[in-house]
Amino acid sequence: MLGRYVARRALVAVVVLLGVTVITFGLMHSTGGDYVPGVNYDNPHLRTETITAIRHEYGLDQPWWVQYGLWLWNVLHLDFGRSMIDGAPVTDHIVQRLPNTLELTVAAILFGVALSIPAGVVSALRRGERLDHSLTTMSVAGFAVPEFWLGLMVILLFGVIPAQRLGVPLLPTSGAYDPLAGGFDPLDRLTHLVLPAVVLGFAYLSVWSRFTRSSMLEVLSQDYVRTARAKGMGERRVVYVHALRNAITPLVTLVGLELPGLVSGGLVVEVVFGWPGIGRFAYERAIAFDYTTVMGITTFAAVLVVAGNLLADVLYAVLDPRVSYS
Amino acid sequence: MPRERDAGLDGFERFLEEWSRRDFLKRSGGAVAFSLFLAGGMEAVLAACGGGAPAASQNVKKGGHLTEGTTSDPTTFNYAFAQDTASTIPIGMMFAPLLDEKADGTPIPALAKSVPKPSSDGLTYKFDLRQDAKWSDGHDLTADDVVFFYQIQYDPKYADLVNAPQAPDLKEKVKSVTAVDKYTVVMTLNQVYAPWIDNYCVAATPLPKHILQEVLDKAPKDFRNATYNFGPTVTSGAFTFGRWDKTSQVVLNANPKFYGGRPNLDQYVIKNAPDSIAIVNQLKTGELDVGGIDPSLWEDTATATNLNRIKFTGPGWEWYGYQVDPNNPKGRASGRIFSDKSVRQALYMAVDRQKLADRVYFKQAVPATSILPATSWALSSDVPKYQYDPSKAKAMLDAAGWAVGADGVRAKGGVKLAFDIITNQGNKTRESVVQVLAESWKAIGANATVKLITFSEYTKTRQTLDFDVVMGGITYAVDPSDINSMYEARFIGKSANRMGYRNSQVDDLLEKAVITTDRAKRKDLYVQVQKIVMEDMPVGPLVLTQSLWGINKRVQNFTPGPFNRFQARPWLKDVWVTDGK
Repeated sequence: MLGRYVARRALVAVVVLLGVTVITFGLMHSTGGDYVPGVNYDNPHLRTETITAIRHEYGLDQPWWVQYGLWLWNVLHLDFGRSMIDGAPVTDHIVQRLPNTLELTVAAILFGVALSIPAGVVSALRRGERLDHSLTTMSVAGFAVPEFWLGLMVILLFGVIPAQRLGVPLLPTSGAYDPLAGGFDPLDRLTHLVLPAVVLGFAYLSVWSRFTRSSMLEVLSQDYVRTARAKGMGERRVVYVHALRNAITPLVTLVGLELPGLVSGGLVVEVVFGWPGIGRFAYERAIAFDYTTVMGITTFAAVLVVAGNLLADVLYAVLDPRVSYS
Repeated sequence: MPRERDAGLDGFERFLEEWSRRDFLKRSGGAVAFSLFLAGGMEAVLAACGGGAPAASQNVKKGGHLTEGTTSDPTTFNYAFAQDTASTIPIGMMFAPLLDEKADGTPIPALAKSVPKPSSDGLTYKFDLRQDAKWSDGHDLTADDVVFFYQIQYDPKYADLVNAPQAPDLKEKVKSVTAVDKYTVVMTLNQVYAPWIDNYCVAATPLPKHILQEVLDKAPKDFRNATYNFGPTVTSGAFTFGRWDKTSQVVLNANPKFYGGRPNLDQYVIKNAPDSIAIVNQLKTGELDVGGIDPSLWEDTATATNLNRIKFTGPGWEWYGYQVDPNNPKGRASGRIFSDKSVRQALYMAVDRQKLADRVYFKQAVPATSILPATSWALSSDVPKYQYDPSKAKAMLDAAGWAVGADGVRAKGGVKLAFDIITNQGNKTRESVVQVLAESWKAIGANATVKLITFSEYTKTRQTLDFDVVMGGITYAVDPSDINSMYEARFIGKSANRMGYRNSQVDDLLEKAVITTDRAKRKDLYVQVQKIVMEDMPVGPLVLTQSLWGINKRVQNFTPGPFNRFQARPWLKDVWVTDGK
């Protein structure tokens, strides 16, 4: 029974993946048209023969379904091909950049969780009072503010203005590490991580603190909380030991929902802060019509999302006896 | 029921309650005033401490690093495949060139001990190489390495498999490149070609044959993707390859064995920034020492306390062109509108190029007067002059029979003076320019519509000629023959002659100017070409752009010029930093 359920879900997952790849492929090629990536079209010496030769070398002169078929065949053999712009294997690109993105998004999530719990709890406890209103306003503002604007403001406040006034920036504003340090100095990496992680985490913080607040309010009105108070338990213990524990379970679900976004969610922040992540890379390569790289990254992200959902479905079915196998 | 209250939160609450709006204004006003005072005070202190450019007589300090910013990542470190400055900048630092270049484009010796003159028949060039140049693994750099570099591009045995961008040109022009002895190279061409040295020998970088021959032989079709091209382990230039963190930075190390002498700097970092705004911000924070400044940000950097700035007129030329081929089936407007020279000239006179330079290019450009950039030795002032004169433009259109209709748009014989202007989207400057063109032409009764298209469609118009008016920008190399692909009829639909321009006299002059090496004769020919083309006006030259640089005050001797600012940088090894860090 379970086996058939899993098999059915897996089949759906495969169909979804195929659909994603076909649509991405189609979109890229229909917008790209005859454009050959990697050719410098502004070169006055550029000849049509050169363009034709390179187009042929990349197989771009074949019908799109032939190109897609060849690509799919290779992917099934775990060969994602090489970038059309720099010739490096696509998997190399992914492996080099994915850890940087994960570093950023995980840090942002941690920041979001670490601050949204106290913010939400305080808001709930002081419901209706000025503190609650201020935190609510900040949440709404934080959600409304575009990430790139916040990023630029933060760069100005912590980088440009201190550098111009005091001679040295307070925090680095770009990259994941100092080029000369080589990326192995943890303190160096940490100082580079602060600004982008805070900016990215701010969006999470805004939403999650609201969620924690309402979840906390709901829990505080539950019978068992009233019972605990009636028994004479100290308020601190009621709130921080019993109520809080139950209030943050929805938060766990929310964080779980962000897992697919671990790979793609930091795009804007990565661009603003020059973070060497996979989001920014995919964006730059999409503009440059690096077909193979974009297909590779999209497929990879799709596999993660689909696999994650499949896993979640199966786990629910296994853990929760109320879920039927239909 | 009373609840215990958290004392800490209480304090915060009280603060919010008591903090009235008047207080807020008073205090923030005070805070702002205080910080301004601090800021002003800091500046005064810094000025008093003598912050400013150090005296020229200061001793050169060795050591330290320099970080340069670019907005794109290199794609290769093999000059045979490189087409963009992000790649050629590091290539120029890692590989010694056959010939180097002065700021004005004059070739100077590098690996070749002197700049060769062609033989009397103009077909042969002999290069005598210096004998002290070595590869970083100790091997001598010899004529074989020079020959290898050319061979993979012109020799039929390799050229079609390797598919280098310059291969079609070299296959056509080169008869042979041979090593006559260990340090002598002889190049023989199929026909006289005046720009040979400028276009194919200056900045050309020999490759290590002893490393790459076997890589090539094993898989010539994959030579483009050879590992060496992305991490050249054996190099010959002032710097050696350190590492490449893709999309982040390239780190180069000084080569103590460089024949020209060890650079003053220990390390050089070429850092990738997302866009021009990030470059300026990082120049201001000091995370970048050197970087190009976008014209729109030039004024903003004037007050940066840690930057010097330089600017010079580069070989950039911004233009628009008319679809003038009357037989072009795609040319909606061409046959009926742009075939009349007075229309082309009238429209040109309706554009205020000075204002364009001031507003759209933020004063970092000057109006163009001819089809060559300001840096060209062939630039002629003996060309028809077109002042900004909308009333004269209107009169010319009236005289040509284009009468203003009831809707304000001119028409002649049932055909309206209406057409599209295209350029590629994503380039803010170009998008603004075409708006200005459209408005200028609307003001004299031409209904011009702006069409922004994707870059791929834009490049397609080179072949399809499917447009009415196109706008673009070109960065020219040293030799004026770069314009051939734009004005010669044989390049229609094949290269830069999108306009479909045909003038057999111009074809003749341009061809003649390439097959003589006498500079005076060539200049005379180009002067004639400019006179004709500026009369025929298939294109409207708009502005010549400035090259803008921000340089941190600690950096000395960073002196790029119009033709030695990217790859060829003979001045780079003399750059030093005052703090030695």
